[in-house]
Amino acid sequence: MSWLDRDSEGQLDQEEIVLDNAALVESLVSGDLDARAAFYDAYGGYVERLLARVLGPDPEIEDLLHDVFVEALANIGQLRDPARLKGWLTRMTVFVARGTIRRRRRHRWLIFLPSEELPVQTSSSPPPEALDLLERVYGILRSLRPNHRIAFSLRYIQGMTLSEAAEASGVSLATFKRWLSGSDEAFLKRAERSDYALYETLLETPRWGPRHD
Amino acid sequence: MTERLENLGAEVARVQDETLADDRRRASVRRRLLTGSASARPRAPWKSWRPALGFAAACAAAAAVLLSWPSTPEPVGYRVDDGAELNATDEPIVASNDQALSVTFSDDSWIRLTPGSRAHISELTSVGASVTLENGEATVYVRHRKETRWSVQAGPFLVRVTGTRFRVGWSASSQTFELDVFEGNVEARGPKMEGRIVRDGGTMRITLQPEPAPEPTDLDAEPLPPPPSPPVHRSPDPATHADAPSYRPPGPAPAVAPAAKQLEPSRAETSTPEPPEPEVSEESLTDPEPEPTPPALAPAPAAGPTWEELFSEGEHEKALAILGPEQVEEAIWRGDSKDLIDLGAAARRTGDARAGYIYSAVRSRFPGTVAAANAAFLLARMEFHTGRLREAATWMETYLRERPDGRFAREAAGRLVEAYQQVGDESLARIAAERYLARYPNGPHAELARSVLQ
Repeated sequence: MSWLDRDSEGQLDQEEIVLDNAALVESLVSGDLDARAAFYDAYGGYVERLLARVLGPDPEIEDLLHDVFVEALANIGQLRDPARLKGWLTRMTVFVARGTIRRRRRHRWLIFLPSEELPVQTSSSPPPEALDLLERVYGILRSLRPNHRIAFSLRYIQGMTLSEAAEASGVSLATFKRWLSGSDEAFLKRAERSDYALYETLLETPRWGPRHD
Repeated sequence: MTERLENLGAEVARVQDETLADDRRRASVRRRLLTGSASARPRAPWKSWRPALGFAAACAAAAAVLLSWPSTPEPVGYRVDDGAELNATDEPIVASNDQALSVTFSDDSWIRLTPGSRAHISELTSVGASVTLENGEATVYVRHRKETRWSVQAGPFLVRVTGTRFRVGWSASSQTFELDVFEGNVEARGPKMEGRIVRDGGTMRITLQPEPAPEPTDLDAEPLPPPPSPPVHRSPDPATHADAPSYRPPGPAPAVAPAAKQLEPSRAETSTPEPPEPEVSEESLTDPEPEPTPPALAPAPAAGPTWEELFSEGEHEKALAILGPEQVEEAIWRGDSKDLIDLGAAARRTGDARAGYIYSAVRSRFPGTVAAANAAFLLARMEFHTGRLREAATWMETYLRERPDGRFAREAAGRLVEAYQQVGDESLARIAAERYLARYPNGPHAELARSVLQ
């Protein structure tokens, strides 16, 4: 809670109690450190999760998480409607993730072992078969075009609606649907070619349960 | 098929959430964001890239050499308050006795001199500057970059920094050097003290024994003519400042003015007769790394908690009770804006005269922030309740100028109408009333504003 939320003078109005997005954005624009902390505390986990959805297990997530907030803090003055703070941040996160994917594709000629394939140290320990699922799914996603990869991640893994995902991607709904259609087809084709077990399971046996979140 | 893909995605998300449960990564980024390294971006070590990157780096370096040859990097420039950018060195920079003075550099570093302090820039390079603090106190923030070389000379002491925030003080009269490091590390050197690293949270206070005054050799000799005086950069006179409101903001009350702390030598220090060379007496020298206990310049009560502990527990009234004049200075320079606002509020509640000083310190230490603007509003409210309506109005104007859409804006605008009306300044009351009604036609002061306009 910000100090502004506290009735330190005993005369503050009710409207002063809640640190809403408008006040948060205003404080961020002025460079207030407390606001920066509140902003990060409110959205850090969400941004990290979204990056993980798009990029999968990745040694660069920490830096990208940092980058998203640096970008956001540098550009917060351009946010016209504070009520759309989360959507704006989502779009920025997707933008940073897409930039990373594109950068890596451009630099593939430099890579002897793709950085995404470097072993990632995870502090918690899901069962090996669960981690294996991550590796297999993202192994296929890495081979897709960036836009297809983003469409697949936002729609199926993050579970966004089509319109939310389109907005997060910064494209029209029609464009996003085209991306998604392309990603479905490309994912299945790639699975059929490189991970037939996954492909078969996906087609034949609905082993994956309903959404947990 | 879409449903199957959704189920697959949901399972992937569930596994990911397990791997993301650990919050150390988030905590690490939080530290980076909040400790001023928001622009630095250390990359993951991609060992597999090294050979190719080495080749690319060699090409890039060669290209960089070709492109940059023979140009030389520009030295950093600086501005004194809102003045023009300067590149001159050795020009005195003097903060007036009632106002702090900011010096901002083109590399985003800044220095804030407390009222009455005096300094000059001794050197400007492409990677930093050397600043000499002649007397008084300065809070210094140095933006860390790939290569940063900054130093502050305070009397015979030299503080070297690469990227940090700290406060340094030098009293020429008492020969006392003080250093509080808020972020990062600095290296301090001085008489009988080789490079000593002072880390984040560390403090240092050293008083030199005074050297004997030189005997006059020739009383009849003509005094030397004074050297040509270079231009002096001073704190803007609030009365003539272009950006001032309709009348100048009140200086803090004399008892609460954020004046430079006078560092008086102790009786024991000054009574020592003529040492052969300056003696160093370390009154306080703390470094948090070797010693886990928090640095404390202020002697805390033997059994009770320190003010720092009380701050962290939100017990600002209790903290206020144990803060003597020296400790309150310490608290003001060490506390964050939230602590200081709360401390000021505690002072107000208990009728402590230091409330205004504390709010003034918020404005001095955190200029341009929401906290500073809110401190102006709280000062206004204090003045209003004590009947100093002119001063209250000026602080309200200050708040409204700094945060026209701030959360106290409506109350400030309304109180402004009240204040002008009560002091009988009809024209300003009308202006304030018009402004209020244009913005808050249904606000709580709307009726008063309309009555003013009738």
